[in-house]
Amino acid sequence: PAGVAAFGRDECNEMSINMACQCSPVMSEFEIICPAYAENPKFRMSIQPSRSFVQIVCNLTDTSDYKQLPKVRIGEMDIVQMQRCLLPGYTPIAGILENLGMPTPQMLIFESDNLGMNVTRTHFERLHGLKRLRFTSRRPTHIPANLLNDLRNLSALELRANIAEMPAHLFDNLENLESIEFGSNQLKHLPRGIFSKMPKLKHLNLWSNQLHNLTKYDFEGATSVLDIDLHANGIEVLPHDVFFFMPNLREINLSANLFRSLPEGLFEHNTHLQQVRISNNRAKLTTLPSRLFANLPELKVLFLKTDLESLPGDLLEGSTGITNISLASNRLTTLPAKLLEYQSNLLSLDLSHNQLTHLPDGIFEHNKELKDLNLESNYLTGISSKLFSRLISLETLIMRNNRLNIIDHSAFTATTWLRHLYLEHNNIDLQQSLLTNHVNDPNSPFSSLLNLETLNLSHNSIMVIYYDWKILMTKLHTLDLSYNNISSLNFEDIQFISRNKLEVNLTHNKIRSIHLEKDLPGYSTDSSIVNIDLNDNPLDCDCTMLYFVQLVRGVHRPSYSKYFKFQTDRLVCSKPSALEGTSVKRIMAEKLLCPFDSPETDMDKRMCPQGCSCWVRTFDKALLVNCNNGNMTRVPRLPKRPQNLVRMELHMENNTLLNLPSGEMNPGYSEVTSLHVAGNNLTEITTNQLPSRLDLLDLRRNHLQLLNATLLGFLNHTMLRGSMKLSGNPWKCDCDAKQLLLFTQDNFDRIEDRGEMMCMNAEHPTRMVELSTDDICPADQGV
Amino acid sequence: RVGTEPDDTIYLCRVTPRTIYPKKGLTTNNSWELIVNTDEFKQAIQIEECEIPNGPCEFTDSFPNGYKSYCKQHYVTRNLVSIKDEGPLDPSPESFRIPSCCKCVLKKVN
Repeated sequence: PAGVAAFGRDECNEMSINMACQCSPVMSEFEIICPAYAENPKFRMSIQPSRSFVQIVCNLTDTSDYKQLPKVRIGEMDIVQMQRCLLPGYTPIAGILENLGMPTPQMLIFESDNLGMNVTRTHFERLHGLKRLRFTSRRPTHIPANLLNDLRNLSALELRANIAEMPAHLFDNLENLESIEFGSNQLKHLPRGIFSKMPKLKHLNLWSNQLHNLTKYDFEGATSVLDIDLHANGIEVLPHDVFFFMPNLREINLSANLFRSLPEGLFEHNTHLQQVRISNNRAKLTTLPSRLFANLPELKVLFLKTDLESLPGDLLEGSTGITNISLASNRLTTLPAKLLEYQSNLLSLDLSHNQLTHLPDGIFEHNKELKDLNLESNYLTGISSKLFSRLISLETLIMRNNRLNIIDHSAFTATTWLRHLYLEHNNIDLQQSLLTNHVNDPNSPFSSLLNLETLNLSHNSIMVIYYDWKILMTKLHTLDLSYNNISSLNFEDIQFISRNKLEVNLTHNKIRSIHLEKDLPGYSTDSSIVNIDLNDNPLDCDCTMLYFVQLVRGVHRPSYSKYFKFQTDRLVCSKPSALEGTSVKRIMAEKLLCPFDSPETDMDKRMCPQGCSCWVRTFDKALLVNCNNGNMTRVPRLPKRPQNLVRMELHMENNTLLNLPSGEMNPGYSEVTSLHVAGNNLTEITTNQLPSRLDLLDLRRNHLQLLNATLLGFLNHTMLRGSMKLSGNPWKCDCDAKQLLLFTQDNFDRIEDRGEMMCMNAEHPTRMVELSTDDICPADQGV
Repeated sequence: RVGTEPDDTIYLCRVTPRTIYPKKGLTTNNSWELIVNTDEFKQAIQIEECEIPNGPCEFTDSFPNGYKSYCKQHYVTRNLVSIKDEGPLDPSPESFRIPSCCKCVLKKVN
């Protein structure tokens, strides 16, 4: 039986031993090369038993080369493909196939630009069983009228060989032919009367010929034909009755021709038409005749792309079966209100890439089955409340790349089954609803779309994440808000309750601040994890970002964080200048500062002393007063520490302070917890000059000679590990300094720079650590 | 892909499939190297080349205006045992650029 190959692995191995040809199994195929290991083999055969298919690729100089074919019995095969082979002289192709043990294939494919001679009837002798023949060549080929006389069983014929003239008698015996593929020849006309000889012909492909002057008589007798393809024939004009003799036509392709107009009534006799394709017309066909596709009850699919500028309102009248219409890439500026009045079964409508500026409100009134509507790349500016009000089945709406600005608040109330909404690249800001209903209605015009899975609003001017996107759309999977104008986020903005692995894209907005809560104990949601991409925003990295930064860095894990995943790989600070360009993942939390006085505070009410700058640091709830390098002789009047802060840091490095104030004189000063007065002119410090809650003290580079015992006692009680810096002072190490020395010895872990403290009263300055109490105060001089 | 699909599948580009035993090849680093291929140690590769590289595709008469179609050669990277032109004669694997298939692509011409 056909399809059962005699050739297998054993035969393949045997052939390689014999050495004339080389055979190798390749996956489920066998590849034979003759002669074996030749650089340019004469034959390369691929035997594919599982597909009942043999391919023979030739590289012949002479028909005598056929003697080098392998001596094998391949067994019956359904399909034989010969590529680049010479016609075998005056012997039939069947002779070659018989020598290979596969005499009766059902399909023969002979493709060669190197035929060596004219093709004749002899070549197809003894192929009586052949059902399908494909004969192609790029060389202009003469076809003799008797070529196919022996192929009475042929059902599919494909001839593509730059044929200029198809002889009428070629078809005399082809009464079983069902399919003709004559695409890509040079036919100027069809031989008259051929179709009455082929009562079973269904498929007629005549594309890429030069059939400029077709009339109905060319198709006389073609009543059985179901589809005809006439694309790319350079046709400028068709007679209105050209398809008169093909009443059973279901599909017509008239694409890539040169129509400037089409006749009225062109398909009048083709009441079984199901699909018409007229696309990529090579001339300007700016409109279609009245009722061209009217009253075609079986019509389902229409492809029209011909530079159309307008359509008649009755184009589709009465054709109620239409399911798919593509009018993409025309030049339509609007559509007649009644165009789709009869299309109650329309499922898909593509109007993308036109110049639509406006659609009549009632245009979709009768299309309640419409599922896919593509209006991409037009000039539409708004969506009215009526336009989609009957599209109760709509699932996908594409309106990207328009000029949409105004979307009526009830534009989508009927389309409750909408799943995918693409509105990117428009001018949508939704401000209109914000102004009218801001207080009462935090929802967007999409709030009735509870089945929405995709909402793409990127490249618009949205400023707010609307309530309905967060709380109502439980099936949302993609919310693209990239390239909009959102300027800040707080925890409420990201509380999406979608259960559909929501991805929110907030990249390329204007987000300056992200305020998260420290924690929300007990916060829980049954949403799935929400993925939020925050990259490429101009963050102002101030103290308000503390919890967000700490969360991103993984330092802070509030209980709500398990419901969110933030993408921040490319999120960097754009402000303040000290942090510009720093990745959020690398910011140390103590660098996050806010100015203590707001920039708007007027001069009189500023609490920060003149010449100083004051900051709030949320990381440790500290107020920072920075008066460094101010040429100040005394500590200015300091602001009181606000109650929500617990620390106060005073920086007065490199001034000219002569002494420190007492807390009574300067109530703000008495609250300082961290005092930095290195590089001043202090000569003496008393206990009442040190704030009572001090835990850090930097006294380097002053003029101190001694610290008295009371003060040392105070420091002993208040200072922490490593919290004191005392070097750079001219310590006077005599008997009075005995207490100080003992203090440094007992508290080596509190004084960071203990090793650098110098005694300056001796002839040679000496490190204090090198001295003992006996050295500075010998017993005989003891007090 | 080896060979041609039978019957109803027609490709837009004609190809020449071959099995080759290359002795020299262009590595992915753009250098020519000797590939080990002797009577004892054979490295066969199946390749597929465009019959006419950059030639027009077939069956493309109704693409939109302003597009040109042509057949483009594609490549894959494959590891083959090879010997460096310089240095010790130790066979070692190296990746070579191998013609894998021929695809019809569209190019906008205006």
